Amino acid sequence: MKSLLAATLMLAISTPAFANDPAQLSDTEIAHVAYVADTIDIRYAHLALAISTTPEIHEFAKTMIRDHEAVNAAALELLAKLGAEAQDNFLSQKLASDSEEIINRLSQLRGAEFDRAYAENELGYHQAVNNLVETAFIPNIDHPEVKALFEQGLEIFKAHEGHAEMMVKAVQ
Amino acid sequence: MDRRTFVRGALGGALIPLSPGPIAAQGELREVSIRNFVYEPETLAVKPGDQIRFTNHDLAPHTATADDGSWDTGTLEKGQSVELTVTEEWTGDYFCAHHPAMTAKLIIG
Repeated sequence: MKSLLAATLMLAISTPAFANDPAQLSDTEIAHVAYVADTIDIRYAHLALAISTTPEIHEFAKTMIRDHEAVNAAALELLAKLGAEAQDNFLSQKLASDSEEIINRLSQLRGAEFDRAYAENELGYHQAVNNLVETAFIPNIDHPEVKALFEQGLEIFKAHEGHAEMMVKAVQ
Repeated sequence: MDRRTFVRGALGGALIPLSPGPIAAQGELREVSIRNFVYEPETLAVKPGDQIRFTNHDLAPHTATADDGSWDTGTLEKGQSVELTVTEEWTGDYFCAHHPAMTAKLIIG
């Protein structure tokens, strides 16, 4: 299953014709994208817990929920400390709308077909998000504490990418 | 069943310091820091009776869990520590139950 979201994210950072440039987002808009991206993966994980019966998929999904919730909590705490609010933007909205399509597709699958689709989507999604965070967001974040949080988040998501790669091989 | 599925049973992630067993807790206090998805140090020599303080400095929750399930810190949130006392039943290879690529080793002598 190709990741529609991965395609959206790759397009966002690589195509000059893309009208809105992720690198031009403000810190609070970037924070909103990150929050939405975390929340999307948490939703995918809950879907996996509901549909899959494979232990490796369940353990991975629980880790996604645990880790993405930790990052979101830290982001909200930082924003509160800074007296700021995350700002909705074109990329947050696109990610959210595209994720609905993926959830619809995944929710119609069962058994090994679901496991493969979920694992492949997770790998593609994390690859794309990591690329976006590393190349478009972190270099352009102004506030040092926001940058530091994204650097910590990137480390976590790279571990997820590696874990997803293991999972793809395990469910083939 | 491989080690990664074996150990996530009844403990449910709770912080459970193991009882000292037949060896009284008279050994040294050793430190293992979890930082950037790495256990520091990755190899640590210990003996029965030593206490090991595991501290998670990462934003992501981690565990330190013996490959054979003989000991487990449970889930450590950022900033949390737990002290475990090494017993003769312990084995040395361990990993993070949430992030299985994280591995380290105790040399128990």
